[in-house]
Amino acid sequence: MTNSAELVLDGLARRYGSTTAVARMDLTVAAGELVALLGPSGCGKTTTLRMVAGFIEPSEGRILLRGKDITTMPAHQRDTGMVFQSYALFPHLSVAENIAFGLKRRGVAKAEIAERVARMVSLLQLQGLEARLPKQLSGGQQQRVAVGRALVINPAVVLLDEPFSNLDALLREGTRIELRRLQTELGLTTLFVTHDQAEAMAISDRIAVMNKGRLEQLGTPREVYERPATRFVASFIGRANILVSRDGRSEDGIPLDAPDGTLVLRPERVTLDDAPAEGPNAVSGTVELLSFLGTGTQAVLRLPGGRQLLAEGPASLADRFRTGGPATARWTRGDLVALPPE
Amino acid sequence: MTSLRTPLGWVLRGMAVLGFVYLLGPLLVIVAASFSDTGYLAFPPQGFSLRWYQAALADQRYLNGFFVSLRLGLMVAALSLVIGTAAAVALTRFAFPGSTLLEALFLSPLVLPALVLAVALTLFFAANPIAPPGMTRLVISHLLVGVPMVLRVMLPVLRRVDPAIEEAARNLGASPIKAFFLVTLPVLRPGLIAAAALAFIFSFDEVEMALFLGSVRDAPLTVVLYGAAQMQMDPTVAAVSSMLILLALLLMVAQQMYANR
Amino acid sequence: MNGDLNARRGLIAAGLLAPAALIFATLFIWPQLGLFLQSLGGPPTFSRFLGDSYYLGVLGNSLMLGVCVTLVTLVLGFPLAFLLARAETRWAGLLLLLTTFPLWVSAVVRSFAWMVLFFRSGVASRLLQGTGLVPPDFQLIGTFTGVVIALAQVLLPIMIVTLYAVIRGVDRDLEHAAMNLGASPAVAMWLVTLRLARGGVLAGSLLVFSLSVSAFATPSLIGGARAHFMAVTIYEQTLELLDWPFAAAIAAILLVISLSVALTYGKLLGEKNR
Ligand SMILES: Nc1ncnc2c1ncn2[C@@H]1O[C@H](COP(=O)(O)OP(=O)(O)OP(=O)(O)O)[C@@H](O)[C@H]1O
Ligand SMILES: [Mg+2]
Repeated sequence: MTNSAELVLDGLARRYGSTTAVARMDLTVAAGELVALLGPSGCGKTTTLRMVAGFIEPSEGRILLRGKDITTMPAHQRDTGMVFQSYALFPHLSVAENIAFGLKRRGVAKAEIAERVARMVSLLQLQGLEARLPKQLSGGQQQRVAVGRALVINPAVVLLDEPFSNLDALLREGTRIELRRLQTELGLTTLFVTHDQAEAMAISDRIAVMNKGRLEQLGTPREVYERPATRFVASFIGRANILVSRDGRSEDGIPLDAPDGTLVLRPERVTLDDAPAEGPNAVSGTVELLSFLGTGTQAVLRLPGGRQLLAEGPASLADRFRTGGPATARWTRGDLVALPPE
Repeated sequence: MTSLRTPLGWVLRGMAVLGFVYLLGPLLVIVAASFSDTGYLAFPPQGFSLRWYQAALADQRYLNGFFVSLRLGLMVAALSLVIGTAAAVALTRFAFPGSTLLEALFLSPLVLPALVLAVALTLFFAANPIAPPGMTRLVISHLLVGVPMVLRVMLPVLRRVDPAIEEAARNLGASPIKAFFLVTLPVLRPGLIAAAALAFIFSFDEVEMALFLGSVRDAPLTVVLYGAAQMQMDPTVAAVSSMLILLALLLMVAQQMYANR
Repeated sequence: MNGDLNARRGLIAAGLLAPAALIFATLFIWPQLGLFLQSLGGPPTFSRFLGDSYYLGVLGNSLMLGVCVTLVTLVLGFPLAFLLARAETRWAGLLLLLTTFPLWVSAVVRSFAWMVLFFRSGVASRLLQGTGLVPPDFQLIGTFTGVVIALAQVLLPIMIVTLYAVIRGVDRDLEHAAMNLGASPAVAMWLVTLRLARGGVLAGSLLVFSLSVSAFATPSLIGGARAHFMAVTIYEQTLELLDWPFAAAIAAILLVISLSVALTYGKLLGEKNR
């Protein structure tokens, strides 16, 4: 991965009347990098993406693509390839014609169009479907045509707005692996919108976590998981027990060996046993729920203070504890990740 | 269909056959009667002759009426299509307060009696002679129904089209105008054809407004036929009617073939 | 769509709407208001209408016509619509097309077809004469029955199309479920299909009722000189007697009837869509 900044969002903002859809966002995407815009519904992901594509005018800020300011450039002159959530395939054009559409607009020679379309068709395993109309394709095939149509023009940046949300779970997983392979192979700079944190973790180089229009944290999947910058990030990405420590105790009285501040304790860092709790970083409670996750077992512990503490362990947890019975949760000082003060 | 082998199924079928005969029979009767070789209208027809067709085609009133109706229908169809589609685009692609109310208002002429519209327009034109009597008045009056007809066809068509396809076209390098001609227009074409056909056939077939607002000299064919049918049971009326039925059939088939292509 | 409601888009929308709005305002709102004003100005037209048993009879005739035509179209239209909606053959499309074909033909032509059958030596009149129930010189032309028969045929396609759409919308598995629970096909149709299609049946009936109450060409041609119907009376008052305020008053009454029916109709369809 080179470090040249392919796409730069510089203080980008969009307001609708008094609501702020996107608030002064700074983001740099390097060449060949895949950045996911991740956040809950309504946090401004689509708005950001559409400002880059040129369908929404920013209220403030600049967009630079390959060093050129494209903030006010009309959509059709920008070198972006977008995959729409609804796919937006042209219903009156065949698969091949859909894929060739952007090449024709760019005045590419006929023979080259045929060749590039054929290459894209085989890359996406759409052979034999070239002459079909979009309505004669399955959802997964339509999705691939939409991807092919955006990639074939070799855009400076690929924009994807929840491209897998209309696929069923199994297909979704296969397709995103395929997309990631294609993206790395072709070295495509990509901005990818999703509200599914597992999806973002699985395929991105970096994740931009958004909340209520603002960028909360930008980092690699490991960084945002292991060192969340805010309480929102900690609870949105993965599962987390959040403890506020003060003078060696949490707000509900759990003895802690940790500095003052807000602490994140991931469930898989919590171990369970049946010895009594002594000293800091241990607390006893009642097992409220044991659920088998396939890879392990998750336990919900009800503490005397009322809090539900999440713990994750091996599948054998289910044999050692029973619902309604007692259990003691333990962790070490290193398991507690302090959030920067807000 | 299992439920049709029951007695109820047979009753339903019998009624349906009856309904079909009732619906289409009279049209067949008139076609058959038009070939009768008698001096009066006869059904069942006696003999076979084309002389009523000859008489009809030689009659200036019918010929003139046909061309008046044709011109009227074409103008109303073209204008309704442009005005109605523009309004449909505005109502579906731009969200603005009161758009649902406006849509309901625009469609409302369709549920009002044509005769009431005709009377109101007669009084209106008498008080405000903004258009000369005859063709011009008739065209703009027919727009009052033609435009809502186009709207009724185009609103659902436009709502079904994913607005993102226009954006996709622009994203792939088509200017807004190119995007319209390369993507939007082709996708809307079957709807546009159906809408134009409906507006044309409405204007061509309409008699109430034509009676009230048309001029005697430039009477549309329906008005000529209405007058002739009132006067006497003339076999030439049957011949003209048969030709109109054939024309309607051709139009319907053409529209269907186009829409299913 | 993510509409930017900025000034330029507003301007485009206004430009697209302007022609339709102009037509609607000058040719619809203004004339309809004018109609009411005209009917209110001058001599007391409404009391003349409502105080004259002849005109009340005309109103009654038209309402009666509406009821009869609605019933006939409903009874003949439902089986056709039901079979077309439930048919699984490729003929169904063609048959549906044939049902709507009469809508492409002018009401004048379709009414004339009935005149051929109805006049003294026409087939329908002769059949009736043959039964001996009517006098030998009887003809259906000029009778209320004749108008009902002809107008019901003219409006039947509209009823069928409305019912077809509604029946199509009823999930067939509901019928199957009812039969699976022990209902005979007839009972299933009564309890499920008709129940669920009720709103649409009512909507179609209201539409046909409104159209028949205000119909002109068919009542005028089939009813002949003795056609005492609302639309025909308005026609006479406007073009023959030139009593425009009175014609306006009758038209206003017809307008009120149609509007109230249309509002009920819109409400019904709105509820169905919800
Ligand atoms: N045209 C508009 N007018 C007013 N507000 C808008 C408009 N478009 C978006 N918004 C608001 O901007 C905010 C961000 O919307 P956006 O579509 O970017 O969310 P998102 O993150 O893509 O959500 P989702 O995951 O549901 O797609 C939302 O609160 C939304 O209500
Ligand atoms: Mg979105």
